[in-house]
Amino acid sequence: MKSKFSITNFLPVILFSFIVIISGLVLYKLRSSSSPPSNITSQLIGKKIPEVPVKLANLNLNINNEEFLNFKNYQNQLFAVNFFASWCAPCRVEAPLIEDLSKIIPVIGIAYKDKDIDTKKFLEEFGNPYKKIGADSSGKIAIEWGVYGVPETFLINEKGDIIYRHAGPLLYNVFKSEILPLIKNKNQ
Amino acid sequence: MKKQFCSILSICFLYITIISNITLAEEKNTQLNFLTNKTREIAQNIKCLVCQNQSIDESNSELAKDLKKLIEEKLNDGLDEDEIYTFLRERYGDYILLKPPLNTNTILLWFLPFIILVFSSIYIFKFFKK
Amino acid sequence: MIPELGHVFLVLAFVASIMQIVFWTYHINSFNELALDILKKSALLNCIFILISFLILTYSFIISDFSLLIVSNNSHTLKPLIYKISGTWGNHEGSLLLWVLILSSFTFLVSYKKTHNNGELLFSIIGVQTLILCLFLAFILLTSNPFERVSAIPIEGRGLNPLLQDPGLAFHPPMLYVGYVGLSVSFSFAVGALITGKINKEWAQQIRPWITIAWSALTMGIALGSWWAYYELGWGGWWFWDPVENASFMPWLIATALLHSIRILETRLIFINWCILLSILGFAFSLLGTFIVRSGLLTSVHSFASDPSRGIFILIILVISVGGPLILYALKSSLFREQKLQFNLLSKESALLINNLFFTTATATVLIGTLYPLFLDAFNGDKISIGPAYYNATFAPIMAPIILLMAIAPFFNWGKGKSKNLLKIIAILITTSLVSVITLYTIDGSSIFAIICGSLSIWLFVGVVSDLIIKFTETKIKLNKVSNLFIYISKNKIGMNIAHLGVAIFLAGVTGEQFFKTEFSGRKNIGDTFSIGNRVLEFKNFETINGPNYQSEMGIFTLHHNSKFIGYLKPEKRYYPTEQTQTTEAAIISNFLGDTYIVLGEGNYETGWSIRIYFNPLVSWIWAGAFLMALGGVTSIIQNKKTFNNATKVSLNEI
Repeated sequence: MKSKFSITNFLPVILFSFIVIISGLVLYKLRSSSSPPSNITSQLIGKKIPEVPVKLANLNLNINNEEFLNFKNYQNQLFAVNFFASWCAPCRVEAPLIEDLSKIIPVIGIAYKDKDIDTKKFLEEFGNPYKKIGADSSGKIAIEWGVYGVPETFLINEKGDIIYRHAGPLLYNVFKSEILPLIKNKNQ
Repeated sequence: MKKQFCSILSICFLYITIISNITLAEEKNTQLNFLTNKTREIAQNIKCLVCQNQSIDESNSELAKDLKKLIEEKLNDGLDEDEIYTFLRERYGDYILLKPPLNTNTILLWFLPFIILVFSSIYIFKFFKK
Repeated sequence: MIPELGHVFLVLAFVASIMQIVFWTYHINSFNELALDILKKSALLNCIFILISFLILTYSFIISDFSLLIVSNNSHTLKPLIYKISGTWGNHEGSLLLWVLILSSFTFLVSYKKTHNNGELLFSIIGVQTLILCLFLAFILLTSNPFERVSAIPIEGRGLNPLLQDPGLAFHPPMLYVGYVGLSVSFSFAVGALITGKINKEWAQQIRPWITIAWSALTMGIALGSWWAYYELGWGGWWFWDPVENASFMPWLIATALLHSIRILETRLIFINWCILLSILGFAFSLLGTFIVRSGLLTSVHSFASDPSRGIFILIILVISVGGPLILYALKSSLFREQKLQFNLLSKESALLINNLFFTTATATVLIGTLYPLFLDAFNGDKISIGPAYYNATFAPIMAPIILLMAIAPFFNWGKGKSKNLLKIIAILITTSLVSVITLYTIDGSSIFAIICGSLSIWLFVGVVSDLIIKFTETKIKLNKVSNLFIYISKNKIGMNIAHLGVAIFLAGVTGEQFFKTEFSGRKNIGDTFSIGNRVLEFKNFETINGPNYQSEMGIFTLHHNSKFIGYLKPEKRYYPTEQTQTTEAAIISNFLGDTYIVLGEGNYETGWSIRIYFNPLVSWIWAGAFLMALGGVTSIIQNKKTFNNATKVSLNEI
């Protein structure tokens, strides 16, 4: 009995080619991307800053007797929010770049799961580039921002929308290729 | 023939007894944890984002602990399972769910296995009709 | 100097394989015995070259020759000897060398096996095997050279990941590779059949032992990996549907379907297309697995360091070695003439057909689950995760009917014949299933899946036992002497029964562990005694210990069950200074009825320690079941050796 299904005999090749082509595309994409593939895109891009109130860190830098971070103070300009911690090694590595960033646009820091004393020591050692510093000792604020590790840096535009998120320490090539262009665009 | 039948049955009942004894003798779910069962059920479906392929129920990382506390709090506030998943999805994306939600992205994922199964069954049916 | 020699031998093997391939393609249409003899001898030569190369690499690891890059990256002088040796394949380059060693060894064994009577087929088999060998040697020499030197020789190596310094994991890769590479033999048989254009029952009889060996090794390899994950990773899980696990599971599913299909082809000339296609797909999935693990496509618990450029190379290998045969299959498979046979719905042939369809659907499901997140990401950038919940909803329901079929298919007859005992057996099965469903329901009515899983296990067990007992009574032997048992085994093929019994036991283990486990977690200090049900645990002491290359913090517990002392549990937290990693070593007391499993967390003498305790009923049945499956495979090879060597045609009655 001759096998009748000559068309279905081609099915395996067709499916196989499909898998190969797409795998090839994925690999090609992997080779040409700069950030590690495991970084997930923030869900908050294009959305407003989370409404959750952020207490200011108690670092004896408080001049105006404020209690909470007020993001509205930075309306009408581009600014950055940087989640960091004294116990976080990559945060130390990115400290100089955050300082560079702070010279271009205002940067607000949020100390993640840290003690005020340790935050203070960290800032004394690496300098304080932040306009204001919030404290998220429980980690709940980070969850609201979709943060899953430190450090993470967000860019917010003048309308109060989050336009960019970088997870991991800020590296020079990311700074140059991703962040600076966004800043330049806004200033045009 | 009767001998066959009896010996088969007796071995089978022995087997059933063994398995039942084991499970009867064990206490079921004496949960002395600080987490309720429902929390753990949900936690088993949430991916630990800082681990290599674990759920936050299995993981001991800080993020996992924080998320578990969060789930517990939300449950106490009266949210149901779906609302908690939605809460996490809004902040972390579908990626954090270990059970992929059913939407336009995943419709193929969920239905393709059963489509294949249906086609196979139709093929078998047609084959024997001849 | 010596490592360079290792490299030279690899180059020699590569050059030799190219010459062999040219020779093979030149003589492919003008076969003669002399050409076959030359090819056989060169297969032996390849094997010798690669063996020398592999031994040189192993030697370099044993003497801790840090001038080699992979030795300095993955080894350390303080490492125990056995892990120095197993470190040879504990890295990407070394494991590939092991891969080609096994491949060339199999080629040699196939070519020198005495019972081949089809020289033309053998000629192409060796040719295809050598082509694959050549592709992999090219890959090794161009991208993954194990003998690469460092310019500045370090005094000490960087050590081996502590998770890998473990006996279970030392044997897991070699066993797994025997499985993967063993499937290349059936692959070559199939491609050989397509090339020569001939296939018959002898083809199936010759291919069968190779598939059985590969399948048994793959079963053991997967089981070892799963068992290792259970006791080493510290949270009591044994299967995570991790892409790397799936990569080993898919070839296993295909190999199982192939194993059963070959049994049919041995006796009647039907399902030829299934046999050929499954043979090609089995090895294709092995290669796909290699691709997934090493290309950087997916990151998981134990994928090797990822490198997309390697990925492209493997993809090319995949296209040549799988795409080629699949095109050949599409073009030539319709030329095979099959027997025109009819069969009932409840016949062995029908069972095989249903079995194959369900198994390929199941394999497709696992493939979809593994690749979907990737493809979606490539398509629109959205990222999703696929965890066990997906597979429980899709894979499990597809396998459930197979379990039902497994118990009754042995009682089907061939073709249009009537089955003798079928009705009686179905009556017994339904009765015992009702009893088991009711029993399980009274134990715990809340989980319907527990009831289903447990009942399936019992259904299958009953089916297997019934078959064994019927065979007993038909052979007319009394089980009063041990020697009678041997007579029974010599007259009855029980490989299948043992393997299916293994599945039943495996399912029982899954039921116990998944649905009936209990867990306690909290903080305890030295001197605390706590009881859970009939078990009493006492936290006796806490010690710090120095191992050969680690420092350990160890908690010491005693376990009493029903007031009887069972044993000590000593969970540890180890710190490996060289690798700067910490591992948790769970303490497990294991017996027939289940495991007691303790994990030690952080803590101190003031606040006590955080601990987690699991009671896992029947969990060792999971690996006992897998072991029985492999044993069934080995049994069937041994029991069939006599029939095969005597070149006796397998008669219809003996199946």
